[in-house]
Amino acid sequence: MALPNPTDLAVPGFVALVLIEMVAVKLTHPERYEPRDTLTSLSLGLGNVVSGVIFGGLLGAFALWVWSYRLFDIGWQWYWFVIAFVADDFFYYLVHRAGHRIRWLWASHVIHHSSQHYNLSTALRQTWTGPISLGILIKIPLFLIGFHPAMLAFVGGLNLIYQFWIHTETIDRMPRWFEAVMNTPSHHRVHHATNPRYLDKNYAGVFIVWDKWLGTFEPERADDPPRYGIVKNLGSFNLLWAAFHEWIGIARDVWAAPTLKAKLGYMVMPPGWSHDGSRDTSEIIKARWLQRQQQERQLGSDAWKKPISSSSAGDPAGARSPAA
Amino acid sequence: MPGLWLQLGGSLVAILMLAGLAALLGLGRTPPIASEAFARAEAEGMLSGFEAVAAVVAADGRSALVHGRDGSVAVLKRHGAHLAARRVNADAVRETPEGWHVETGEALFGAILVQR
Repeated sequence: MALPNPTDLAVPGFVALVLIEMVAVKLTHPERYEPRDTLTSLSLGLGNVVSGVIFGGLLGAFALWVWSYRLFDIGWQWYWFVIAFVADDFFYYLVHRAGHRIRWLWASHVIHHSSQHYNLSTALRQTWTGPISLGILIKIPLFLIGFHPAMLAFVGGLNLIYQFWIHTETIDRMPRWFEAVMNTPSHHRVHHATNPRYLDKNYAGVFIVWDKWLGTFEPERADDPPRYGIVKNLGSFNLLWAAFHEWIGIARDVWAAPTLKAKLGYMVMPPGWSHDGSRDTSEIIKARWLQRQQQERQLGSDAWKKPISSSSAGDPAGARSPAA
Repeated sequence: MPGLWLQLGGSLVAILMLAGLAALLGLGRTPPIASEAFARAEAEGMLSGFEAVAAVVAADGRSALVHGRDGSVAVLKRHGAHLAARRVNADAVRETPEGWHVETGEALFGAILVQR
């Protein structure tokens, strides 16, 4: 069955909405866009399209080969599209979570997070190296169940279109019932934030329920406004550096690693892992932050225990005379 | 294939148009680093585990040096509408009559001059 590519059809809409958002923030929040960041983000998006053209055939062939070993014959009725959409969204969660927890996959995904801005152009800031990351391997069960790769590509495209509009600060909260089930701008702001509380949270594509079910949900808090980007921000708008910096980091670390185990670790352990403990993973950052929170709370509670007048001080009986 | 080239060409035009519009609208222009307190707070916010004790903000407000309790130094620089930070050893900072030169060791982040 020949299906259109939804994201191709959506591009004019993407352009229009970016334009509208720029005009909307001009008066109230001009810092939400930066021309060079926008240029880098959109150029990365274009490169992603080119990468798809180059490698799409190979990935499609692999998917079809796996699908040929399918367990069930799934038809093309509309309800199979609905089921495929939900199933694909769950596997999107799994791939996305792996993309944050396995450095090899992170090296491809980090591009999307590397902007310190959070606007609709950030939604289009996409990887050039998705095929190298091999995230498609996590989706093998879907092909083996019997979902045709073309059907999954189609619903996957719809999934990406949904995620476009949630990359904005111009929408605060959706209605509670919506926030309870769907991924929203608020939920996704948390995902893009480097605040310790928000690290490695809210991996959802369309349905936030996967995060709530699997313990990776964190609500956005007004007293902890998101700080966007990556733990070690690029500090550069260089397009090639944005696209490849983490791959270069892996190469350097693997080259310098003292043992085979360390070399493997630098490829598959979580981002920030090091063989000598010299760097920070998100767990370390969170633990350090929690400890500091506890210390500050303790200081705050101790302040209430300090005497505020001599009448609340201890009995001076037995104390040495000041004249002594 | 011609359709693909048309699509790519059209996308490139749209990209340049949008980035140009962002510049025309004056988006991303931000005030200089406001104060030493702001620099300290930003350094702590961007660098996990960094405890700021003192800061020097450049005369042009585009960079700052923040000294840490453990003797390390955070260097902040304006990066578009935001700040970017690196944590360096104290010996990476060289004081001159112009200000403080900081070698981050990263070509693309660059060496930073915190002007007096």
